[in-house]
Amino acid sequence: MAVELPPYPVGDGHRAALQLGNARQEYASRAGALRAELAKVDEALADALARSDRIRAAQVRVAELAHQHRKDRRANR
Amino acid sequence: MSAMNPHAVRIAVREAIYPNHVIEDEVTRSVDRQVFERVRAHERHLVSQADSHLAKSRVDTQATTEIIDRLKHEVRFVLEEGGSADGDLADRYEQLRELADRALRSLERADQEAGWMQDRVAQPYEAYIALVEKWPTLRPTLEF
Repeated sequence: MAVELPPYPVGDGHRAALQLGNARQEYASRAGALRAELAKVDEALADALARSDRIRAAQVRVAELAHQHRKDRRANR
Repeated sequence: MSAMNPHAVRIAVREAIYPNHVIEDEVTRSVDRQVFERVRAHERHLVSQADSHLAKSRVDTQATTEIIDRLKHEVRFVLEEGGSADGDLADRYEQLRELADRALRSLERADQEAGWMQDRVAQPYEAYIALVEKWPTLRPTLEF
């Protein structure tokens, strides 16, 4: 039969283990929040760049139209 | 006997033959007390390591919160309010992105360290026995 030994009495290690467990949850939560914010920032950047590309394309198109209009007017004189 | 693993010594003194119960109780109690003292000292060392880790990692979690805040205010909110993605903003974004990647690596490292410590500090007796099992020269000299 296996010898039964009195267990080691609980000490400060128990408290430290709980604190480490809480800290690990905090690390996961902070990392998750940071990844989520990075995703939102990337989304906002993509939207802003798409917006500025659209505006730039529209400006170029307007300049072309104005140029053509001036050319047509001169030709009709 | 002193070169034996302390856990094995606790078992051996219980399996030994004694002239009477009084002596048997005295010996087993004395050995348990000596082993528990060693384990307690090891536990104190583990707790001190854990406390030091917790103090150090607090900087990483605080830095992460700061980086999230700056990404929001210096990049995302500016863009969401109609600001343009100009060179200045792109530069700020790249700096913050680098900090964010560093913070994520630090948090990952902190989690691994904490996991490693948590197992040991939660079971100091087992951790101490495993230590002296691996490093026999650290086995204590027990008197009985």
